[in-house]
Amino acid sequence: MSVDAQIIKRLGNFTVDAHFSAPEGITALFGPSGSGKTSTLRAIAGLLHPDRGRVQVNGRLLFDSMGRIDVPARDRRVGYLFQQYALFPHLRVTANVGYGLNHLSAGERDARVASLLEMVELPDLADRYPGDLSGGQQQRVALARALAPSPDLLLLDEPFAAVDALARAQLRRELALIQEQTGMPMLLVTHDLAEVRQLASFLVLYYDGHVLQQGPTAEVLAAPTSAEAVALLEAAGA
Amino acid sequence: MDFFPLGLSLRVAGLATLLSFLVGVPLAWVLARHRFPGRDLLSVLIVLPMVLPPTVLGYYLLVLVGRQSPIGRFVETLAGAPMVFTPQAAVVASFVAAVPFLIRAAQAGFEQVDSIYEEVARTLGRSEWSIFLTVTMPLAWRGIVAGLALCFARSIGEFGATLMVAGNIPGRTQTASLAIYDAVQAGRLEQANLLALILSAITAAALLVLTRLGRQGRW
Amino acid sequence: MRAFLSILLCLVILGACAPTRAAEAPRTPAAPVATAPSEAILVLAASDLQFALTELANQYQATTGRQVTVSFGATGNIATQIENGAPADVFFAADERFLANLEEKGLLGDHTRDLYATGRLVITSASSAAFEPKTLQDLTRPELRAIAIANPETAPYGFAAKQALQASGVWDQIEPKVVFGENIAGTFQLVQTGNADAGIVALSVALGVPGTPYTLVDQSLYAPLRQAVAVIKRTKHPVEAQTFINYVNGHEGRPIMKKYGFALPGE
Repeated sequence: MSVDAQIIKRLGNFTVDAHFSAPEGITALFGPSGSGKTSTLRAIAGLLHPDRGRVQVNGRLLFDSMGRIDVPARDRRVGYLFQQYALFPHLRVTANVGYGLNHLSAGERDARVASLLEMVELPDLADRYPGDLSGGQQQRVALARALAPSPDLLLLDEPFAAVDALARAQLRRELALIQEQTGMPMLLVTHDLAEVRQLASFLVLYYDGHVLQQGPTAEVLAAPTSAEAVALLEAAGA
Repeated sequence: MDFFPLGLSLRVAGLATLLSFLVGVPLAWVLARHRFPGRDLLSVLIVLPMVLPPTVLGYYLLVLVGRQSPIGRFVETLAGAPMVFTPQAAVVASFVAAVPFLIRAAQAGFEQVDSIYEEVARTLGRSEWSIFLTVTMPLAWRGIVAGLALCFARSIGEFGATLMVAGNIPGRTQTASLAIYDAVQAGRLEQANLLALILSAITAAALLVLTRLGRQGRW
Repeated sequence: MRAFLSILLCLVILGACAPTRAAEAPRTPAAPVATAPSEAILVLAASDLQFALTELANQYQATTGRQVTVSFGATGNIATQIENGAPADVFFAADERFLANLEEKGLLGDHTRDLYATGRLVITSASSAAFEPKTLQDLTRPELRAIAIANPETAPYGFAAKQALQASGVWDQIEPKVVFGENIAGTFQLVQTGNADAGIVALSVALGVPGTPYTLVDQSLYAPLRQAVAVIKRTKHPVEAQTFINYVNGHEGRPIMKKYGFALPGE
C-alpha cells in the first residue's frame, strides 16, 4: 500500500467523501469533471484542508483528523503537476527546475538540474523562459521541476489535457518510462480512458464525490460492480 | 539660492518611501491573501489619509504625537523633546499621507498574482517567507513599483500635514513645498518659481527611474 | 529589487549631502531670515507680521549677533501647535485672546504676556481690478468678483474683517464671493496676484509692498486687534526670548513697527 487516502470535505453544495488505497505504480483517478478528483489530490498534497480524514503515503502519516496531525504542504514531499503547468514565468527553465533544490549547494543543484533536463529530453532549453516554450515543452519542464526534490509520491492533475495530441502520446510514453526508472508511485487524474489503459496499473472510479470502485485496471474495466460504474465506463467508450 | 529645503525634501521623501515600502508591502500582501475579521475596517483606515483634507490629517497627527498624547510623551522620554516641529515629524507626516497609495497599488499587484504559483512553490518545499520573496513579490513587482512612484510623489509634495506637525521652520523643517509656500506668502514669486521648477524636475527624474525599474522582467 | 533599494539609498544620501543648515540670507528687508546653530530662538508669529518682523529680526541679528528664526502662520494654528508641544520660544499673536487661552493652560512664561501693537484693517485691491474700492460698500459692486479675507476661524484679521462687513450690513451680499486665505499674508497674496479683485487685509502687509493701494477701515466697525506677545513657558532660552521681545517693544523696534502701520501701546 503506497497511498491510503480518506478525504471528507464539504465544498459549498457538494461533499467529497472518498476513500481508496493505491499500490505502487501509476494509479488513475477516473471520473467526470467535478467528481472530487482534484480535491482529493489537493488534500493529499496539503493544499486543501479536509474536514475529516486520513492521508498516509508510504507508511508516513501526513494527515489525520483524529490524531490532529496535519503536516504542512512544504514538508509532505509530495510532488504536484498542474494541468496549466504553472511554471514561474519570471524564472528561466533552470531556475524553475531547481526551485525545490534550495537545500543543495549550487554545484549539486546545477548537476541535478542538468540530469533532470536530460531525462525529459530538453537539455538545450535550459536558459529559456517559460513564455518561449510550447505546451509540451512546458509540461516536461514542470515534470522535471516536480521530480527534482525526489518526492515520495507524484500527483498529476490531467497533465496532458492542454497539450496537442501528438505531444500527448509522446509524453505518456515518457511518463511510463520515468515511472519505471524511478519506481515512484503516481496518482494520475484523468478522464481519458485511453490514457488509463495505457498508463495505469490501478484504477479508482470517481462519481459525485465518492469512490465507486477500485482495483487493478483490467479487473475494474472488465467487471464494473455498480450501475453508475457501468454508465460511467460506457459513456467514456469502454 | 538656498538648497536646504530641496535636500530636506529628498531626505524626507526618501525615508518616508522606504518606510512605506517596509510597512506597506507586507500589509498589502496580508490584505490581498487573507480574510479576517476587521479586514474591511482596516481597508477603510488605510484609505482615510487619502481622503482627509491635509490640514485635518495634520491636526490629528499633531494631537497623536504631541505632548498631550501617550505616544508623544513616550517619544519625549526617549529623545528628550517632543517630535513636534522636528524633521522626524515631517517624515511621519509624509509617511502617513503616502503609504495608502503604496498599499493600494501593491495590494492590486498581489491580487493579480495567481495563487497557483504559491501553491506549486509550497509543494516544492519552500518556506512561506522564501515564497514571498522569490515568487509573489517578483510577480507583483509592476504594481509595487507603481505604488512606490505614487508614494514618492505624494511624499515630496506633502504640505498641509507637514505644516501642522513639523512646522515651517527655515533651516530645520522647511521642505521645498513649504519653502515655495513661504516665498509666495512673502511675495518672492521668482524664488517660488525657481524652487517649484527644480522640485518638479527632481520628481520627474525619480518617477522616470521608477518606471524603468517597473519594466524589469519578461512577463 | 536591489536596484530599487540602492536608488532610494542614493536619493537619501544625495539629500543628506545637501547643506543641513540654511545659508546666510542677503540683508534685504524681504529676504528670508537666516537660521543658525542650536542657540537660535524660535519665534512663531502671526502672518500680519510677515514684513515687519522679518526686518526686525534681521536688524536684531545684525546689531546684536544673536540668532533668531521666525516662522509665520495663522494665529489659531500656531496656538494649537504650541498646545501640542511645538518647541517655540516666543509667540507673537494677532489676538490676545489666543494668548489668554494658552496662559490659562499654563503654557506661557509667568508675567511675560504683553501687548505689543494694535493692528489695523485696510481695504486693498488688485492692479487688475476694474476700480479701486474705498469703502466696504464698494465691495458689493459686481465688477469685483472675488473678495479675499483671511479665515475667520484661525486668523484674527479674518475674524475682524467679517465683523466689519457684518457691522456695515454688507456681509450677506458679499459672502457668496468671498474667498478665504489661510492666513493674512496668503490673503494679501490672493489680491496681489489678481486671483481676488479686492480684499480686507492687515495694514502691516499692505505697507510691506510699496505702491499697494489701500484704504483704512473705520475702526468702530470691528473689535480692536490687540496683538500680544509672550514667552513660552517650556523655552530653553528664557532670557534670550525676553530680550528679543524687549527689543521689539523698545526704542530700536518701535520705529519699524510704526513704519508698518502698527499703533503702539502708550501712543
